[in-house]
Amino acid sequence: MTDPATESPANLISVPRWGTDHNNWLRGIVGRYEQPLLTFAARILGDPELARDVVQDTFIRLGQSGPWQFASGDPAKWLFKVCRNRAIDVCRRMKRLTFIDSNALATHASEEASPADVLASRDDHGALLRVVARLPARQQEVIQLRFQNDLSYREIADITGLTETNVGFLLHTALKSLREHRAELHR
Amino acid sequence: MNAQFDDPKLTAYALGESLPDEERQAVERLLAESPEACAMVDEMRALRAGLRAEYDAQRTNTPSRELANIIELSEARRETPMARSTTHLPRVAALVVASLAIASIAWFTIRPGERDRIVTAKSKASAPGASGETDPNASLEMEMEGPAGSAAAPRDNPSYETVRRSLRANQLPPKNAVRIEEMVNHFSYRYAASTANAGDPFAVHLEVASAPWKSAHRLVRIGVKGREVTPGQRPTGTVATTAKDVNLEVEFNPARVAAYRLIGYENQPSKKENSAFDRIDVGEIDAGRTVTALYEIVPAGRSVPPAGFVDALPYQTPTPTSAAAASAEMLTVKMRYKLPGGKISELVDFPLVDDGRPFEAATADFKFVSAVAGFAMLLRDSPERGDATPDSIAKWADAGLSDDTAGHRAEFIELVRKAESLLAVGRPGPS
Repeated sequence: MTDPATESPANLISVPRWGTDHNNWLRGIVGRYEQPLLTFAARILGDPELARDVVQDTFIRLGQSGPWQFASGDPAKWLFKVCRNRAIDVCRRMKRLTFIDSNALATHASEEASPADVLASRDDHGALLRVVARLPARQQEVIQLRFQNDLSYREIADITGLTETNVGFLLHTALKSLREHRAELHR
Repeated sequence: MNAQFDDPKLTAYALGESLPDEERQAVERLLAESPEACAMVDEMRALRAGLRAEYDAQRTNTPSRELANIIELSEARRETPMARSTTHLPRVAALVVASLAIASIAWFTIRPGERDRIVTAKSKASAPGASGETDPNASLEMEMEGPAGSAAAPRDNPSYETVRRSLRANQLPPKNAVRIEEMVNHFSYRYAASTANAGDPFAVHLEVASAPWKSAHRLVRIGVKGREVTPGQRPTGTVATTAKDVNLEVEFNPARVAAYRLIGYENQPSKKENSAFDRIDVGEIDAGRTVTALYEIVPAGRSVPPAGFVDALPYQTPTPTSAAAASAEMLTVKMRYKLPGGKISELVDFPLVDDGRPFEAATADFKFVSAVAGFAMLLRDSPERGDATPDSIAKWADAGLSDDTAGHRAEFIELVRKAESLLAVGRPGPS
């Protein structure tokens, strides 16, 4: 994805403007990203209802803009970045995490799924994601961005504020854990 | 695991991430000679396929009903053209004062039965896309404040001029000619330099104390100003481009706020009862130096909000266990803007905790701006003016005289005294 700021004015003019096109575009984006963003925000907030507010607000903001804002008309990176910032804002406001930062996210493993929960359901449907839910929040985040939303290391780095190297390291570590956990599950 | 294979680069390769040639070649050499490395890559790819499949299985691809509403709202809003006056300003002048067009938009989320309802009132400049449609290089330019804290001269302002002219001619101004928001923004205020967000081109200054005209209510002052530029940093002339598409949003915490009203803007009345969202056309504010907005707030726990206020809990009260209730903040001001040339918005937020201070403990500027707003309400014969009288207004304004080298504030007090004598004979008392 190129930086929208470097797009030429000619590109900006050639894409659809306000109107039905815009609405269809928005509808498509919402359909595609609502659920991923909900999962994403809920992980940060630990509360599905708050996540709903944050995601709704993210789409309100998106609705104020249009496809020409984004290279290829796909605002994935923008959505996750805005959603993440909003979620962290809310976190701060709720005093759940004071000054959430990379360390806080990296070191606090999710408390939602205990190992027992994971082991209790051995059917393959969603098994990997249940293991993902046991990883530290930061690893879950990069896994979701990479495998659910096909974002590059660079884009994930932009969203999370990490370096590309760090993104690579987290993905590597997370996949390593997944391999081990999966081996454990199938033993 | 063999240390050789425990390498993020191998993982990146397996995931199809593009690597620099040298690294890619190194990984390929390793794969050529190591079946173990190949197995590792295969395993990573199997994990990738498995994760993608599981994520895909979760996909819905249909907007939920709530978000379908938002799409419709977005369509409705497009019917109203956004202000764009900021994009065609001549840039040759040594001193360019751009207008910051702010239109307030209040959004309500309609989800009956849900806890944690937070009403947000959004003030919005042009739509993010709007500048891109015209001149992508155009940006909002703000005249910068002088050296820290220097008080600037008031700007020309039709409403204030009208008031002054009328009173000087011994007449009360026509009520509708008095625009509270213009009166308030006629004066500059001494907003301290931002320290918390020194990198932002804007700073937002917040203060809250009792409303002097109604002590049970709280008055919140929101001051926005362009970043300080010291004389040494100042580019040629006095203009520095700071940000564009500035967007101010106030989010109230329903656990602290029962109702609120934005003071002024009577010519663009809000229709917020049961509509899904609403738009207040604030029009244009000359934002050369500072922009000030005032909110009067009915604290949570008070009885039914008076007319003219927006209920911060239009559908349901929050449960005591809600997360919002746990938050100390009364409101959060969110400032969104784009850097010149940028297309992606930055967002900074400024939470405000009400420490319950009385009006007497407020800053001199807060007292002065309260006096200006009170005077405007009085001249408008507004029902919201509460206990404000010319005498009390003059006393509030007195506090601001400590910072009045140019005498504009003293002149204001003169006008208040003039109005006092005219009101005593020229208009019936409060009805």
